[in-house]
Amino acid sequence: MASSSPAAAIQTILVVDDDRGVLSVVEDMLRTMGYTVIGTGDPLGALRYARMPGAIDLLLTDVVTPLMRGSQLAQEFRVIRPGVKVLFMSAYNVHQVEAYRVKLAPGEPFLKKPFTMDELQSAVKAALVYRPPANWLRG
Amino acid sequence: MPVSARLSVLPAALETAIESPRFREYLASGYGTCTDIASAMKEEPKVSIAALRQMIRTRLAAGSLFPIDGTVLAGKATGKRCPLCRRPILDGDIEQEVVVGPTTVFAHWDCYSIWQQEADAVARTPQHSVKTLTPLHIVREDGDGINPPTAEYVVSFGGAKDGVGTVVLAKPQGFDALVVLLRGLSIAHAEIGTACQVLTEQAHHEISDVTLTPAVLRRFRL
Repeated sequence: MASSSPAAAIQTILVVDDDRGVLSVVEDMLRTMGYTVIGTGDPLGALRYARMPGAIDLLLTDVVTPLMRGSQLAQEFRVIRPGVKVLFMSAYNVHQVEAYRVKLAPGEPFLKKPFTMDELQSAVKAALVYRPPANWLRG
Repeated sequence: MPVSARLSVLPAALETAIESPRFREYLASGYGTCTDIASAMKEEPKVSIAALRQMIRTRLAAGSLFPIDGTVLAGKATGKRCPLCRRPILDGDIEQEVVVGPTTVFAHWDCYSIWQQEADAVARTPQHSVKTLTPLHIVREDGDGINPPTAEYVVSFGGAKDGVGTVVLAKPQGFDALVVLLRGLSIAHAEIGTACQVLTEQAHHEISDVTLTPAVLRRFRL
């Protein structure tokens, strides 16, 4: 069962999903786990958050979002905040998302929709500590 | 101009500190400084009931504090910090262990009581019935030997553009459990009949514009 932890309380997650209902519920789920959460349905809004002061430990983004794909958002986000962790979520599987220019590093966490609260928590925890291999080049 | 007006955005701890008598004495003396504020904060002054009630009300409205509808256990103080008043729960205090879904918090008895009162008040107001209109997806694993009336279904919501849901609500086993679940979501009788009929022949059915209230989501621990 998912549970909050003291460590989660100081970590901030930016969630990007253009489905407002889903965004709202995912935000609530993450807050329940103890994270500080910022939510937006607009990838460009997410980039504005990236430029603002304040910690963002993880970008949790849908792969298929209007205006800007999740992969492009992650790429531009990493330019602004090089150390940020990214977790992609999608109804597509890890192979199908490659068509959307999402190429995961070996062992990189990925959140397949639909997901349960426990699956969300496991993926977020894994993403927050994940480090790609030193020789891994992002596309 | 009062200090509270000059500092338009105050951290909660600072707001609490400003409430303290010692800090007010300093202000009255005209010698209030940042050092005094820090000193007052270290004292962890007791927040007034009115201020605590207002803070809890604000946090409930903002969604940073959840309504109480789970298990509550009373016990001896263990020194944990109460997340409501931010003071430690010390010997002699009653420690309330509040379990709501996956979350457990520990609070003073008094703080918990106010929290419960305010949560009940919020639940009675119309604003609490904020609704989410979302497609509901019902999916079963397809394959040889699958018997639709007894198979497991994954019921999820969201994901209007993907053809699958985003967040899993439940995984009912068989049509009977599925019907109970859909009734619990206030799905119309005819719609439930259609769903069962479609799922006899297909592995996926979508019910559009289902109303999910916060109360329903909490029932599913979401």
